[in-house]
Amino acid sequence: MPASKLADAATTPLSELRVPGMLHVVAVRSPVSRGTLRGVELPRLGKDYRAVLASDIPGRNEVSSFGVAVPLLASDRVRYRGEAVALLVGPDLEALEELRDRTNVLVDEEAPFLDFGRFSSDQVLARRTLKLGDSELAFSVASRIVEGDFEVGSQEHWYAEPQGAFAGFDYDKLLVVCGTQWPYHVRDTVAGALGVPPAEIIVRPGPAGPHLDGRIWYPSLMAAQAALTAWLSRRNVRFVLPREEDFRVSPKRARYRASYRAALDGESNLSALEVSLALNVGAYGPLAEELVARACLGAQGVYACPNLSVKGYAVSTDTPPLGSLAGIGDAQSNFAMERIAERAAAASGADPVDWRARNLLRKGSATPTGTPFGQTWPFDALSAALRRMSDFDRKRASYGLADRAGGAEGPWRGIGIAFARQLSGAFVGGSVPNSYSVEVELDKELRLAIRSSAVPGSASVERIWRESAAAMLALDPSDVALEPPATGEAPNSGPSVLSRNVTIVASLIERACATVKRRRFREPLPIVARSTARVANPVSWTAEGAEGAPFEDAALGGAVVELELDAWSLEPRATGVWIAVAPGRLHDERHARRSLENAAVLALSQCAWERLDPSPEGLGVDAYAGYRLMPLTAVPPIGIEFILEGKRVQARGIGELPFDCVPAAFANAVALAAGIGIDTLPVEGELVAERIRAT
Amino acid sequence: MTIDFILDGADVSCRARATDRLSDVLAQEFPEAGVGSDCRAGRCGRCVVLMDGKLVLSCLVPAFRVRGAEIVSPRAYARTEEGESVAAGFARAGVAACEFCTPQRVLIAGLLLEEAAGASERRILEAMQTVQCRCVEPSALVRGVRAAVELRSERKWPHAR
Repeated sequence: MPASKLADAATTPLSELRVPGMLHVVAVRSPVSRGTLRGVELPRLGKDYRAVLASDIPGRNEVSSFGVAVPLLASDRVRYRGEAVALLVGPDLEALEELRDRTNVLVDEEAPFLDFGRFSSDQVLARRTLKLGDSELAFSVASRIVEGDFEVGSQEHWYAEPQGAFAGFDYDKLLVVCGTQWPYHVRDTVAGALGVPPAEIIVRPGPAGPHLDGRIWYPSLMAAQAALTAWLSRRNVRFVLPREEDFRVSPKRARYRASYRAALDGESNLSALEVSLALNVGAYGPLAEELVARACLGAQGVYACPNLSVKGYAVSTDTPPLGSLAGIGDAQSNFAMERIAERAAAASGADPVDWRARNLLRKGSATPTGTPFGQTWPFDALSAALRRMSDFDRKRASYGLADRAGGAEGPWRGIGIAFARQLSGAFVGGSVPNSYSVEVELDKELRLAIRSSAVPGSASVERIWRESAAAMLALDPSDVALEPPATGEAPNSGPSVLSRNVTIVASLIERACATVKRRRFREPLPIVARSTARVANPVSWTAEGAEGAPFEDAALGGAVVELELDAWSLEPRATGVWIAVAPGRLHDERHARRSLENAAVLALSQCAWERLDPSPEGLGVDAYAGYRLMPLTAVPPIGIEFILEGKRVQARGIGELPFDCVPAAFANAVALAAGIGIDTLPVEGELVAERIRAT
Repeated sequence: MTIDFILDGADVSCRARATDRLSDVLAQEFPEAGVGSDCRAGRCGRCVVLMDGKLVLSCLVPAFRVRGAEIVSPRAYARTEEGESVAAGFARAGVAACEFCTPQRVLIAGLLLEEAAGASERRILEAMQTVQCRCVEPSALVRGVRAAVELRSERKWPHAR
């Protein structure tokens, strides 16, 4: 096999990748949501075709994610409709699809668990509890109590290219290419499946497009499946899902339900919160622990609450694994808390921004882990910017005057505000170590090479890394090269999630460059320096609560959404969005602006367009055909402002803030427009009409 | 059956069944054209091509319809003078679209500029809606098309102010 063919593999979209003699793969999948697998009846396979079953796997039949094992191929039990039970490999894709259609999967079907509204302890994959102060006492003396039940639906990532992987033999190594956020996770999964040392596997991240945190662990599963077929057939193999199949079987955003009770004291300030929340993490729940930990830590939003009782459950159901989408569990809880904040302000007759300002986490306030909050957020400047940009106060007063009950003619308009914080890039679930490395090398020609397995994801991030390294060492940015993030060549920089590329990785590059700078005129070139990040005060969990200081580098953001309800259908349609964030140090304003604007578009799409309800039959063709993204023509003008705090502060992650605050601002605006409470996402006209009828 | 057509300026021939989609034929037989066939339902837009000068979603075109036709793939269009000017306009406006949708968006923008250089924002977004990719904010696409118009104008009238 010419090496150049495989060298192209990492830069070519998988769907276009062709290597002479390459084989294709299709998956035979479970036809039912739950049951005992009795066997797989295969049709007669031609001489160039073969099937791979769980029993053929030479190593471990699992992809391990955050302490949870997901089978590469089901062996005795099936846990969701569409779970892979066998792989068919051969030279002709169409012939493989015909063979798959003639294959019978024999399963003793059982009644599936699909509803996570009621669940048993057997279904709980992870639970987290937070306790602060005495919430019972606070409720017993409360002046007012506000309550709410909240629900946030699932969402599809809708990748630029469906999930897939290529596995091929490159001299004495197995080369794996896939669009992943975590190359070393792919490597370890593939090595485990094949029963070979990790060094025998080279993983090169291929083009992935916008991953939206959907490529944390699933590419490892697909890569291991591709590698297995390559290993057993001794041929190069490409395995790419058609889009409809990707939609049915790949992970989606976890569904969320929560019940909130908030106690207000005599001055209408938040004195206690009782929260019970559950996340539907589907089968196996590979991100269950991190999801539920983040949802619990985010339960009080950006507010101080001296008495807190939070119980969170990650519930397993027999749907495809559900997990992350542009953030891991924070956004859902923030939606609920911001709706409670709106309700609390209304109940106490306070201005919604003033109530929020009074109750904001301040320096010294107790955080959910008990540690005092150590920073002062620029809330006043941020909220003032939002009010000014959106003309919030005047519009809110005006829209609130509409006499809907008296038959005021539509379209009804509303405007809503919400705030959120984004934690630093560290994991908080408790079991995944937060340790990442970056290496730089300054050679004799004064060229700098950056080695990191972090996947930049965009040219802007690459530019940020190059330019900051060049500035540190007084080099021209063109003399700074970013080496491919391949395993074996670059150190393990962890998964590219939670805005880490511009927080942790960028800071590691600067630290490594600072080391080179110190040694530059004392040692001969080349100089190699490695920088490793360890979270100073990581979160650890006990049965009663958590310890650590995850909030220290949290960024604050806010959003205002203005909308109108269609006069005929009552469908909410945003007419304006304004976002303000306090990013700490800003590496690249244009990149940050684009990133926030695009995130706001995706968040709006989730608010009113993207409905995804698994039916008893799982996600079928109907769900795929009916899934709607927000049309580009429906995107309103989006205004963005940064509240800068000087150059000395650290860069904070801000990319997820629109996902955290736009949905709540949207729901608050719908509530004002329709005069009803909307505590569910997505919000569709039918739901608004139903609530209006009910009131 | 054997189907002869022109692909990116070259006479090509391939075997296909009557029920095959053009996108599948292009993706399987001519991968260098870079035409995707992901959704096969006219949704994702990765399969757009010019067929006899008109933009089509090739997953909705039966392969037999292409007999004798001229197909231009997005990747080939991007190499033309028109395509290069659109790409330059996108670059000038800082459009950071991903590697998957950029050729298709360039093709669509180029076609739009031939139709009406002063296309409204709504018209630009309607046209760009053909490709469903979440990588880029819509306002950037509008800026990109407008920048391409400016660039073409500057090239056509280099001395005009």
